[in-house]
Amino acid sequence: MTAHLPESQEVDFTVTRWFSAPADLLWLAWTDPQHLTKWFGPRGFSLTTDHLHLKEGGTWKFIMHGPDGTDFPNYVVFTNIVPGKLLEYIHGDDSFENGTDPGMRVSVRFEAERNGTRVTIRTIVKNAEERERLIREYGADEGGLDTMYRLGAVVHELGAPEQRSVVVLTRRDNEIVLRRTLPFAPEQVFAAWVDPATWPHWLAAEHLTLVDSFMDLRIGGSFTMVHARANGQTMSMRAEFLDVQEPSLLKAWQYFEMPGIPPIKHLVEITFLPIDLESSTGNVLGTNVTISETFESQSVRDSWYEADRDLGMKEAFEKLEAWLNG
Amino acid sequence: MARASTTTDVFNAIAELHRRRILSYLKGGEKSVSDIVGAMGLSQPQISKHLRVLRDVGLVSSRTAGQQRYYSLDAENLKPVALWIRDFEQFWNESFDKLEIYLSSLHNRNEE
Repeated sequence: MTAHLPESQEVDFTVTRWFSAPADLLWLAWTDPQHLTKWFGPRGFSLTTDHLHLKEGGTWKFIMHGPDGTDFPNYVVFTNIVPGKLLEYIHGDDSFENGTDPGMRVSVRFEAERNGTRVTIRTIVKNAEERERLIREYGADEGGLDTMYRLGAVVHELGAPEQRSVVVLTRRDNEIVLRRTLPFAPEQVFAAWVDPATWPHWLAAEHLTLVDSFMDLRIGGSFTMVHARANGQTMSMRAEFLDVQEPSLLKAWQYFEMPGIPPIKHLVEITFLPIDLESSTGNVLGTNVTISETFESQSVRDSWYEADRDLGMKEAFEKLEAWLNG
Repeated sequence: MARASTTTDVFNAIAELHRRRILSYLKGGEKSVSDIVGAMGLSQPQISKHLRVLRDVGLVSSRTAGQQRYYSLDAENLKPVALWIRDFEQFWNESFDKLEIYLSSLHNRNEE
């Protein structure tokens, strides 16, 4: 299925999440219509499956019901199936059923990682304009984040632990987007986030001590966070705020500095948006925290390499494989 | 300056889609330039330009045999990228878990 697409312009967007669940459970959630209907697609959507024939060349015909009552016919042709490991398909609407190539290919990988499974959904479209259109008109990026979140809820229902891992999305080159949902209101999350007194309680800095912190929360203001290692070496994060909207948005240039290394500059945007969460005691107000990090950066490579040269190669290459393959 | 950094920085080298596709293709083993041209659907000069960038940052190496030049992947030099992504994800996984616990403890204290 490659000859008819101008392959040289193809681009992808990729969403990945590590689940505390075995691969066969995730495979079940992916391939059984009874489970698919509970999580496939953005929040608020549901599915009616006409048929699902899980075999190479087999098809899956379903209707997605939007929250506003709109129905979206979908048609999928499976192109490659390796049970428990890999699912590849072409995804289109009802015109695909009549033979029009939708030009959207999807691969879903299931990989063992740290006593769990990483699921990576890579969507390949014909060019960058098409990718932008899918993001703009269909919220394909938001949809991907939602989907992984909902999949987590379903594997929990199927007996896996509650899933707390972040969902990671790469939608454009040089950008990584990461989301975690917390069962607290945006005001509570934001207040902790911007208060240096809380940082020692939650910022994951194993083997590091917070030795200096500063916060001037306003547009044009800055923050500083300095950690020290046991050997006295310091690492600092310094930021200049470009935008501050309490309790929903922080945008900043951030500079990571270590002695002997040029500063690493990132553009970081963090949103704190309210979301209704279903819980055993009824709906509670939660927050989607979304961190978008764009690296520009000469020398990021060397610095992170220096910072972390003792770590093993194996896991790094698994990640690398995911990065390259989507 | 943008051009200069492309040739010295792995991150910039792989930010370009065609170069990522070439790297993916080379995961299958050593390939000749004409193989790569055929697989990518780009012109030979375009491919050569991308291969030079990848070679300058040490992501591919080449050898010549007869009339052909062969390229292979030097994945070792992609390690910083992999580490960066892994650390980023792991750092935030741990931080968010701790933040949730911390906010729960505040919440419980307020309820008492």
